[in-house]
Amino acid sequence: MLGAGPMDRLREAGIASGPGEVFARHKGLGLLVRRGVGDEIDSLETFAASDLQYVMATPRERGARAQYLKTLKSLIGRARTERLQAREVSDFPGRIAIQHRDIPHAVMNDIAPVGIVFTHLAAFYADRWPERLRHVAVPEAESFGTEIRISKTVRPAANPSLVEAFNDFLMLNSPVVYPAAGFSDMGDGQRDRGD
Amino acid sequence: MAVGMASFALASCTTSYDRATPGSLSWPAYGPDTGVLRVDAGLDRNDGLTNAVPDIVGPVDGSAALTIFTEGNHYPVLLPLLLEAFPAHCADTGLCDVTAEDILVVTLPQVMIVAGLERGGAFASATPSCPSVLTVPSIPIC
Repeated sequence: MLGAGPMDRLREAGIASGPGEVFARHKGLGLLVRRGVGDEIDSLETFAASDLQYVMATPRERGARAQYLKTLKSLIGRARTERLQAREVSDFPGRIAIQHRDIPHAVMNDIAPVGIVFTHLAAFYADRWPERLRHVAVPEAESFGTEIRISKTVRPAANPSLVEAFNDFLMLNSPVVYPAAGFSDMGDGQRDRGD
Repeated sequence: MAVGMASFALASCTTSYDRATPGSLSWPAYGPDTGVLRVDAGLDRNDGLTNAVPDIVGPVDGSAALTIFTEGNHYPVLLPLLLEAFPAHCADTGLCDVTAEDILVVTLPQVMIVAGLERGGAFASATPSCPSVLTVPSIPIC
């Protein structure tokens, strides 16, 4: 399960069997804000105008980071994005270069009061720890969201019928469960069967 | 079929910062294994690392009936769907037969997934530099 680019790379390497089938599309970045520090933050604009530090995916997580920077440059401009980057906290104790672990860890442990992370993750963590975290949606970032695809490996599966059963189960249920978890509602017309 | 390494560790950087307190966050748990991560041999379950990086869930000894490698950002949706709803669907419909204990799912960043698969399932770090290096088991691809 990967984005289009990484899946194509695996296909070209003879690992993935095809370009994959789209089953979800996320809504791009959102903000994860620590309660009691960033209470005035209610939008990307107010965050950009503040002096609060933040954490974001590492350069090693290049796909997500590139997408965040592209979104920021488009929404608040290149110059403001560059000034914003001066407030980024890059290294901190325990960082493992896995944003879905690093960002809530940093925001909840006084490393930075704000995290830039996919909005469905920000919402999930804020819902998980509501006394400590807030989710600030950035609706204008949705157009920068990307798809997630599923493809089988070229190497035969240990249990091919089970793989088929899961694929069918995912494609049947993802139009409901992913939007309910903060992903885009793609509708039938936006899905493609790339295999 | 390859068998997973009996090790799982976060390597420390040699820069100015210290290692994390591994138990500082109690991550949401899914599936039947209360420790989230189930590695069948060689892992000291009391070292705290299971609570720091719960991104490999399931058997890594080659016994998995279904293995999913995925970018990790949708794990809050995928894990309950895969480890709870799908086995229930199989049991209810009779169309398939699997338990959560038979499913291996890896939810790391895309770059790690791609690099690991290109190396035939060796999910060791390709970039031994800070920020911290992640070392994870070799995982059978099928």
